[in-house]
Amino acid sequence: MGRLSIAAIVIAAAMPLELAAQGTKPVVVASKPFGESYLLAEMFSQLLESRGITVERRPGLGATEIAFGALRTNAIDVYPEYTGTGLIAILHDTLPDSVAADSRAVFAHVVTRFEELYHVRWLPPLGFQNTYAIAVTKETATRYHLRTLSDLARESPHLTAGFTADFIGRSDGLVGLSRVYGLKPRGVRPLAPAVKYQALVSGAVDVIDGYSTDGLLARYDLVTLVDDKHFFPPYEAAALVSSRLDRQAPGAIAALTLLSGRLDERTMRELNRRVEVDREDVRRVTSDELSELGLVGARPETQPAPSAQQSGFWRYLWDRRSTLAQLTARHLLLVALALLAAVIVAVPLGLGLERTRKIAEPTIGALGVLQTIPSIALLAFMIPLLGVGVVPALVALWLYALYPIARGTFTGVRDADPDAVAAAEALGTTPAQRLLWVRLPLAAPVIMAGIRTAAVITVGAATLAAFIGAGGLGEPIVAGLALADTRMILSGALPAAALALAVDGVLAIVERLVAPAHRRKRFWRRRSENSERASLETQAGAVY
Amino acid sequence: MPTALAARNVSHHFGDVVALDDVSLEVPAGRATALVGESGSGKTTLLRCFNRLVEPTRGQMMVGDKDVRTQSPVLLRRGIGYVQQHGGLLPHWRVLRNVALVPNLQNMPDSAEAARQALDLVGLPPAQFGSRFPHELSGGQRQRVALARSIAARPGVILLDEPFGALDAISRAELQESFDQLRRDLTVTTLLVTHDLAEAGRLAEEVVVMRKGRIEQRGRMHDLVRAPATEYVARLIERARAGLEALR
Repeated sequence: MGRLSIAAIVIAAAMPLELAAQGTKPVVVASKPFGESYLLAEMFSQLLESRGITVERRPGLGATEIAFGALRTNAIDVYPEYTGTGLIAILHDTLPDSVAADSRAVFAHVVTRFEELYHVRWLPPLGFQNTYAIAVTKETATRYHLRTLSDLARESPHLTAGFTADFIGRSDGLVGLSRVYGLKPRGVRPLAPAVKYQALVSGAVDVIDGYSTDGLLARYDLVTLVDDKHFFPPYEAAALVSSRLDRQAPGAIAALTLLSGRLDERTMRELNRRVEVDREDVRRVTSDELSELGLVGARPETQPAPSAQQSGFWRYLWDRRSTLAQLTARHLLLVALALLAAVIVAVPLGLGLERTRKIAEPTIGALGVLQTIPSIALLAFMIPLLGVGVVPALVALWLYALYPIARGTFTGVRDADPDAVAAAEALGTTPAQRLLWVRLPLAAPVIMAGIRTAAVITVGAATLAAFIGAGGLGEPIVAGLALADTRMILSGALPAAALALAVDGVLAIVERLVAPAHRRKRFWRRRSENSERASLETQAGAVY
Repeated sequence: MPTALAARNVSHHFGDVVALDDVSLEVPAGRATALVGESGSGKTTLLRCFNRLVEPTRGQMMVGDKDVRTQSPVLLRRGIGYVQQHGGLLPHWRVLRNVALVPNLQNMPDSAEAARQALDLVGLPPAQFGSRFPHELSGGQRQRVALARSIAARPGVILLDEPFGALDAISRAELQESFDQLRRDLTVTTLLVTHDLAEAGRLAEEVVVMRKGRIEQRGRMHDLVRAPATEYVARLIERARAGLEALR
């Protein structure tokens, strides 16, 4: 099959993924990967849909850099953001204390600066703040006499902190907290948002970063320490809107603005509790609230879905089988396309490097360095160039798959029976003939092993593609992590693991099939050899 | 029609190392000449200049009446038989296909038939051995196949680089005998590289002793033994003789 027809297949296969987004361009509503962000994004979506506007949901985008990067480049149109995050994590601005303490002033500041710098618009605040809540258990608070963050700093050498990776890295997180309060915990463990409350309550860590609207703060009766030096800026929630939407869809802007000022902190904490503690469906919680607010018509009461809590895990999977099948198919398609593209590039590259050995090791080394870039970071780099969705995910997966394939091809071809290659040369074969007749057949199992490694890596890495909205089995993993829902996580993780094993198994068989003739499995050889020998002997008999 | 070989004032160096230093040599058509010397003497380099595996820095290499540089290396090599120490059979090809390599490259109409005849000539019945893989043969049988491969297209010249060096003594003796017979029957011009003086004497009409890229002495084995031209040749003969004495 020629290169062209392969390229045509790749393009044809990729079409439905991206073209779905064309036509009358829907409003792309995104969220960051935590419960409240999911809820607010779902509110935006349902509100828009109730006004007849088509919505595409991209929940759970990586973290602030990824979500905001996507918004700036118009890859998404709206997501919920907080003014304090905008001020510190995005703008890196420091304001005089008098201004920083005033939520109105901070909002005015970010509105102006975002407009100037990014042409991105903040809609009026939703009506509640969700600041960082540095929390400890009641027992810890009593034992160490903790009421304020200054108290915490004093006792911090005795305490182990469990913070989210986002918080550890942000200047309005651990970095600033250490600077302003002199916080020096005995140890800092990076924790996923989903497990931090568990870790605190079980005593694995002594202090965590929560959000003031988290439903779990109340549930576990935790103590939130007072920010006595007013370190944290106000974190007022608001819809952040892309310049494209702002220019082209006044209807959507009007619809979204309806929510401004309508959500107070008590309401939000209650909604978060329903999702995170009671495990109610996000869509359902959202539609209840919107109809209560009178923003959408009351939904006809449907049969309450059997609570996921009560049915077993396998039942849970079974109920979601069609979704999971779709996600699996999507996952496989991502892997297959990335792998195919990697084979098309890396095999010729490996062959080329074999002929220019001086640059071979540096080149393959460079591909190896790509391998060490954390997937999330690589995905984040992609956004300014390629936006969010399938394309940047494919490019990232493709980059990861190059190394094992190029390495396998290069070493396989380089080490293929040197005596046989030398003899073939001395007897007058062309370089192309040596490649096709000697080197490639002998190197085939090594090349195939490289492809197999790449395939397994790609199946795993593709789960992270959900962070930039490419779908696949990472979707329930990301959502489950955000909503602290273990079953949801497993409903993505288990099929992904099974897929990795299946892919590995299938390619192991292929690896055996491409082994050079003299090394194929005995039972293969016996049969073919016997028949071939028989026919040869007949021929020989005819001649002599 | 056998072809003569000639090297005229050939020099070659690999970086700073001189491999060949103004060497001249002729191998008459249909005759066998052996290049003898220790490793680093330049014997293999000289051999490899004839089929352009090495392009000498200076001088002229002739195969027949043509300078080797007038032909593309690929076409040149297809017309010259070649056997190396480790036969270099393609491990994933059956014996018959290995032997048919050069006839196929030359688009000979019945390359399989040519391969079968070549196998017969080296004493391996094609019906028995043709469909085996190289790893299913003994070391001696593998070298026979390599020999069959080098003559299957009936070249006028055959170059052998330590062809029997890796074999046990008995296989080596048997193979030497077969080869001697074969090259006489085919009247093929032969250039053989070996470090074994006895082998050179047994297989070649003329022996060329090389040392440090130069020819030390050339002549019939008989003449070398009777009148060694240099100290080095005398020592070489002395050592070969001592090896035989030890068997008494």
